Formats: sequence, structure tokens, C-alpha cells
Amino acid sequence: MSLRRVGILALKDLLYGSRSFLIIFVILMPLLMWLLVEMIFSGTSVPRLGIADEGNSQIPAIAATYESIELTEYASASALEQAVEVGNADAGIVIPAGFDAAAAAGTTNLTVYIWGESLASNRTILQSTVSTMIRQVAGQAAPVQIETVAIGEGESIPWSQRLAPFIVVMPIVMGGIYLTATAVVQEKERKTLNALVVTPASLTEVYFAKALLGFIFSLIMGIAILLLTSSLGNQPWLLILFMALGAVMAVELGLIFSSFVNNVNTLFATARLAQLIIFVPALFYMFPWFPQWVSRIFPSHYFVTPIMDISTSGATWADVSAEVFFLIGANVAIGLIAWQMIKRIKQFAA
Amino acid sequence: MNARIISALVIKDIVLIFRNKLFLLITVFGSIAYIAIYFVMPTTVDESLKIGLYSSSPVVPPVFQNLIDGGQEGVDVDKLDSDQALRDAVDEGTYIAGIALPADILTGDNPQINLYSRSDTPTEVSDSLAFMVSELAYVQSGQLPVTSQSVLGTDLIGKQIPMQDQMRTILPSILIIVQLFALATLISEEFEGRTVRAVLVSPANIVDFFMAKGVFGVGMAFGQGLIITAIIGGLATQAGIVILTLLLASLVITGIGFLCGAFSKDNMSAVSWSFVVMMLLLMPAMTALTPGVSNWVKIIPSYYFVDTLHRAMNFGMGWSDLWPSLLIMAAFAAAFTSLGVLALRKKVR
Amino acid sequence: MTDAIVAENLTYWYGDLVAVDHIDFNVASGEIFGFLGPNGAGKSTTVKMLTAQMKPKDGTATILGMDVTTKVRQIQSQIGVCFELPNMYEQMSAIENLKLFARLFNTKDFDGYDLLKRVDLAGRENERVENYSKGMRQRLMVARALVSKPKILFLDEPTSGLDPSSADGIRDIIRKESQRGATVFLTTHDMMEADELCDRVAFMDEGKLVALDTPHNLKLKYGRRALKAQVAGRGGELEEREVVMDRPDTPKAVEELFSSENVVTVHSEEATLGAIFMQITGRGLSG
Repeated sequence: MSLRRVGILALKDLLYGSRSFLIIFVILMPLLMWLLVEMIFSGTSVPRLGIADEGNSQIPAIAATYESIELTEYASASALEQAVEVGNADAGIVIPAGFDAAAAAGTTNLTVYIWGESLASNRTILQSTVSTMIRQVAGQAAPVQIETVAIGEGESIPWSQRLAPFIVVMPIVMGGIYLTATAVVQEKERKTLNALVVTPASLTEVYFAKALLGFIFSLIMGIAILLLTSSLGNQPWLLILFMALGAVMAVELGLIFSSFVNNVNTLFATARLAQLIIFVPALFYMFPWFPQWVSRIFPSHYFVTPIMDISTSGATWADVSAEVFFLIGANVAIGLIAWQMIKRIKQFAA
Repeated sequence: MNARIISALVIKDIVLIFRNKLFLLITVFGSIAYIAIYFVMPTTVDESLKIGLYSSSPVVPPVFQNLIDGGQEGVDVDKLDSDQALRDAVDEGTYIAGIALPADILTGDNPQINLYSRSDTPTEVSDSLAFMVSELAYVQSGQLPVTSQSVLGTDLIGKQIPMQDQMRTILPSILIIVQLFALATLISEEFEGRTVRAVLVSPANIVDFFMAKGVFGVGMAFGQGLIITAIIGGLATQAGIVILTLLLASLVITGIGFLCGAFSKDNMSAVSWSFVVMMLLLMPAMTALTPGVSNWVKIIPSYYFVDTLHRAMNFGMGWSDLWPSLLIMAAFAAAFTSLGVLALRKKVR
Repeated sequence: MTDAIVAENLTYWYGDLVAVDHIDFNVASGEIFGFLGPNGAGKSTTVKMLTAQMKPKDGTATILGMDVTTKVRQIQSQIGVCFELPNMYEQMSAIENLKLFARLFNTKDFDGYDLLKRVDLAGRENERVENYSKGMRQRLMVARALVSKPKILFLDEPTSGLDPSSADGIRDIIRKESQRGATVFLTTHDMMEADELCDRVAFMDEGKLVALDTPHNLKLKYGRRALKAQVAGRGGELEEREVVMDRPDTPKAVEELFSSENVVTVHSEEATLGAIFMQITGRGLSG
């Protein structure tokens, strides 16, 4: 195999392949997914409180320190009320001038505006929270101490983090499976594969070039997504190792699927099966109460789970070394299958 | 414009799209999946926080007793017989938190209340509950309440819209949006395969060609959207508005499909661009029912599909309330359809 | 009889490039008219204007007496076009493709199976075009052009990619269409085909019409007839001899050849259209 020819072919695919597919599916799609997840899940896990401070109360400053609410300040009472009415805030308070002094004197009762569509539980929580802030401003001593006791050993994982494996795996799927497979299938569709194999370039080199392109892009985008989600953690090289091994697996699956299909539409339909193989462990990671042994059946479990453990729980080499060797073995096995599929291709015409 | 020619071209497109494996996968299995999703969604909304309570004191303070008796909206409190039972129940997930009142709750000077929560409960949730318990303690100690409530907007206490009803507005929107892919790829295949030229040297002219694509696009999107909506009971309220919304949504998507097909240089780029446009259109559909949706989402046309359907189906709003949204949708439909036709015309020429 | 096709001062340019440069020609009804020229000569652009796919930038063209710029639908209902590159609906079968176009043309008494039989695709009617070989697709293209029983057939390289037997079949169809009364506008690189089929041929080069006449007249005018002989040399090897015909000294040259040489074989040679084209333009048809 000539690396020079492989490089020439890979560069050809990069420069003259389906640029829009590359940009959209491999680069844009994972970013869009990340954005979508951020949009849906950020800021919706806590009740939203709006404050319009007409005086110079301490309450906004106190509220800003609370993690249990999402605070938004409004310039006027009417803006606040409108925000609450349309649901941009679950609740809101208008703090009149001189409120703090009145609260200290015990002569105030503040109205908490509640969004009609908010849940009863949220209303109770927000009203209690506001009451607590007022009592703090009023200097009222707490009649009890409250000791929060955590039971069990689990960790609180926000939804945006639960979805992180899904987002992290997407570039591996898009770059590894789709980019590689479409590069092959397009050559078949356009009959250019025939033209290539009557040159010194062998079929192996042609496929390897496409695999290389898919691998590089899936790795780059995987790392980019880890950076965007601040998930690189303390062991970036270990993470990159697993991303690389995952990318190899995805590329091999892409080669296997592309050997069966002759046009892009069929590829997109059938490659979804390959997607499932990769994504199922990510799904199980999102829902820890699912029976996790099912996830272990899928080879991608052995890179998805370590990636998440390393980035979120600080797992080290000692914790994940077994998965590395398993992955290497799995990649060799899948690679052999892919190699057999490529060797059996005798007819290049679509 | 020739009806016979247009019908021949529409029939041809229907045959072709149903032979497109990817389209079949997305549409047929997607439709089945959507219906399945709808029926597994919860049909009720649990508005209350489930909390357990154990009191070491033989007499439960009145404020907390009031909780047990159901006197506090949004909180559902059960009394347990032992601290261990409370801890176990919290650990199992039966309660989101457990309040353990000490023996000296009524007599002690600054007694300590234990608030149990699972370790995987978000901190903000346990903090909120601590505030609630603290406020109860203030009231118990004789302090007057310092806040009162005023509800703005339609009060849905006890009438919250369950997830299944919310899905009724989202699913048809998603199904219509996904048709964008079918139209974009059909158009790009005509250009890539040069069949558009073959058609245009027959008696079919460019108007027939566009009309056929438009009829096909709107028909497929609207037809599927309507069928799904009917199956999941979406026509039970304000059927006229719902049908019009689906039709306008279909027109918008058809126009966008024209644009995607016109700007794609081959089938691959049509698939790619239509996927990314679909993702953009799906964003408002996914977030439209999430409280506090950002205003920028409202410039994306599909926001109005879901919002209008939601207000018609779940709130029974009528023409007088919804005409602005319908007008906005009609404007989007006119704009995108015109742009799409212009773009295609330029590509044909 | 009204000419089927009339082009007067027909012109088209792409930016600074004049692709069709003020050409004039007529095609009589029922005629098989050959349109020859290298790639880039302007043949396709001319055909696109005649089939109302593009509007001329200057000049006029009429098809069956109708202006190509104003009577587009009327013209297109009377013509059949076979494109150079296949453009069938690949996911549809052959018969489905033909039925679609029959509906578009509103062809009465359309028999797709018979049409496919004529182009030697009998038995393959229900197969999807995506599974057809190149030759089969080409034959299907010809069949599609015939769906509406057109008055004028525009055929662009109809026998390209066909084996000799299939190509013969297509030429036979062309003759029969002409006998039916259809006018055939044939664009081809195959000189022998043009020579064999066409009543008249036009040579196009760099946007201009450089010759237009019957093949016979073109040969007479530009061609050179000769007598070619092989004679046995001293050592027994064969040598070539040539006597140009149609010269005053031709009889004497022929007599001298036969009397002084040991003639083994003799045959006459006519000019080919390809050679004539080269003579006129200074380059070959391959461009």
C-alpha cells in the first residue's frame, strides 16, 4: 500500500467530494444537535423568577446567589407582569421603593405574581423562596436549623449532561459511518471507482483513503464537541484515545455498509441500522435505570461509556484500561469483516 | 396550465417517492413511531411534590399537620412511622424528599429538622425544599406570611396540559417538516437526472412542472399531517383552525422544499441541506411548548405551526384569537412559495 | 409543401462566445436531415433553439410554420426529442416511463409494448431503468421520442453506444418514420450513418454552417474519386497504386496501369463525408 497514493486519494475526496455533505452532516449537524440540546434543557430545570426593583432592595442580590432559581431582572413592573403572563417567568415580584425598611419593620406583604400555567409545586417553591429572601432582608432569625442529608451514592446529573454522550457520539457516527460510506457509494454511483482501480491505486488504497478522511473528521469534530460541552476533563489524551478507537469502529461499519449499497438513498436508509449500533449505549447512559447489561452487548458501549466516565467522573487509565483492549480487539474483528467485504466486491457498476 | 399534465406529473412523483427507501423509512416508520409515542405519553400531570414526613415529637406541629392533611397546594405529604422508613422511602424514590421533625420541634430553642433527599437529586431542588420547610417553620413560630399570590394569565391549576396533549400539537408539525426532505430530493433528482429537460420538451411547460411539484408537496405534507392529527384526536377542537394551520404549514414547507431543491447542486447536497433546514425548523417545534422560549425562535416559521395548534387544540382558542398567527403563517407561505418558485425557475432556465 | 423547419439568421451567444452565428437553413417535410459537426460547433445550441428549450438571441426559427418563441406548447406537442445523454426516470420501469410521456402528450391509442418491441426491448418492459445497460437506455430514449408519433423527430446521437445490430434497428426505425411522413433532424458523428440515412447534411463548425447539400453532391463537389489498385512488386510484395478519376488523362492512366503492372486487386474509392468535412474546415469531426 502506498501512503502517497492514499494521501492523494484522501485529498481528492476532501477537496472534490460532496462538500455540502461534509460541512452539513459532519460539522454542522453535531453542532446543531448540541445547540438544540442546550436550548431545550438549559434553564428549564429550575423555576424562573423575575424581579422588578423599583427601589434599591437587597433582594435581587440575594436572589442572584440562589442556585435553586433562574433570576431575570426587569426594568419595570409592567414588563415583569407581561413576562409572567406570557410565561417567560414562572413568577415575579415587584419590589417597591423602601421595601427593605418596611420588611425590617414587619409591615409588608409582597405579591408574588404567578404564571397561570406553572405547576402547583413550582408556585409553592417560588413563594417559599421569595419569603425566605424577604425574611433574610428583614433580619428575622430562622426558628429552625435545616440539615440537608443526602441518601444513597448516586450523583445528580443534569439533563444536558445526560445527553452529552449522544452529542459526543454524533460526530463519530456522522464522520465515521456516513462520510466514509457516502464517499464510497458516490464513487460507485458515478462509476468513477472503475476509473480509479485501473490506475496503480488499488481498491485497498481507495477504501483506506476514504476511511482516513472519515476517521480524521470524526475525531476532530468529536474533540470539538467535547470542548464545547466542557467535557475534556483531566485526561484529555485518554479521551482522545477512546474517541479515536470509536472513530475506527464507525469507519469500519461505514465501509461494511457501503459495500452492500449502490446509491445514496439506500445508504442513508440502511446506515441508520449502523447508527443504532453506535447510539444504543448512549441511550442507556442517558437513562441509568435501564438495565445496563443490554448496553454491553453493543461494541460501542466500550467507547461511549469510558468517554463519559472520563469526562464526567474523572475515570483514569486504571478504570478504563480493560475497555481499551476490548475495543482494539473489536476493531480488529470488525476490520477483518470489512476487509472481507471489500475483497468480495467484483462489480463496481451501480 | 393543464390539469391532465399536472396530474400525470403528480402521479409520477408519488410513484418515485414511494420507491425512495429513505423516504419510506422516514415517513412510514416515522408515522408509526409518532403514533406510538403519542399513546405512551402520560395523560396526566402530577403537579405536586411528593414528600414524606416523620415526626419524633408525638405532636406534629399544626403547620406540618396541615401539610399532611393536604392543606398546601403543590405538596403532597405522607406521614411515616419511623425515621428509617422515611429514609428508605426517599432512597427508593417514593418521595422527592423527607422531612424528619425532631422530638423538640415544638419546645426546643432552634431545633434541627433533617431534610432527606437522594444524592442524585439536583442541589437546586433540595435547596428549594429547604426554603419551603424554613418558611413553614417561620409560620409555625408565629411569624406572619410575608407574601401572597396573584395568578397572571389563564390559571391552569388542576387543568395542566398533559404531555400527551402537548404531543398532539408537536407530532403533526414534525411530520410535515420532515416532508421537506422528500420534495427537495425529488427536485434535485429531476435536475441531476436531466429528466426536467425531457419533461419540458413535451407539452408540459414550466408552470405545469411547478404546479405538479407544489400539488405533490402540499398534498403529501398536508395529507400525512391531517391523517396523523385525526388519529391522535387533534380534530376534536377547533377543527377548522387546525386544518387551516396544517395546510398553511404544508405550503410553507413546500416553498422551503423548492428552495432546498433549487439551491442543491446534486442529490447529496439536497439531502444534506434539507436535513439541516429540517433541524432548524424542528427547533421551535421542540421548544415551542417549553416555558420561556427565546424570542429569536419566533422568527422561524415552524414556531407558529406548533403554537397555533397548541392554542387551538389545548385552549380552544378561536379565529378571533388566532387570526394574527394564521396571518403570519399565510405570509410565510406566500413568501417561501414565491421564493421557491423563483429559485426553481431560474434553475430551469 | 411547407418546410418543416426554417431557420433564418439564427443566432445565440453565451457572453462573448457566439455559439450559433447567423445560420440559415430549411428542412423539408419528410426529409431526413443530418446535422454534423465537431463538439462545440453549436449543434446542441441550435437544436435547443429549434425545440424551444432556448430562445434565439437573434434571427428566427419556425417549426411547422410556428415561431419557436411564441408557440412553444404547440411546437412541443408535435415533436419528439431523443437527447444525447440518457434522462429517464431510473426508479420507474421502461413501460412506466413511456406511459408517463404518453399521458403528457395525450397520445391516443398508445401501445407502449409495441413501441418497446420496435426498439428491441420486448420482455424488459417492467424492469426499472436503473438496471438497464447503456445500449438499452439509448433504445428506450429513442422509443420515448416516438411516443407521440411526432411530426418532427430530433435525434441526438441515437445510435451512440449501440452494437451494430441494434444500431441497424434504430436506423430502420428512422427510415420508417421518414416513410410515415415524419421529418427527422439527426445529429450524429457517425459519417457512414449520415451518408446512409440522410437526404441532406449540414456541416456546422464554430457556430457557422459551412456546407449544406445532399451527401452525393457534397462528394461530387468536394470529393475525389480514385481507382485504387494493389500490384505485385518484383519480390512478390504488394504495392499500392492510385489513379485519380474524372481527369482527362484518366483512361490512359488506367490502360497503362493494367498493361505495365501485375494488378492483383482493384477497387474504386469515394470521398467520405469525414474527409470532405476535413477538407472544408481544415479539421476533423472529432474536434
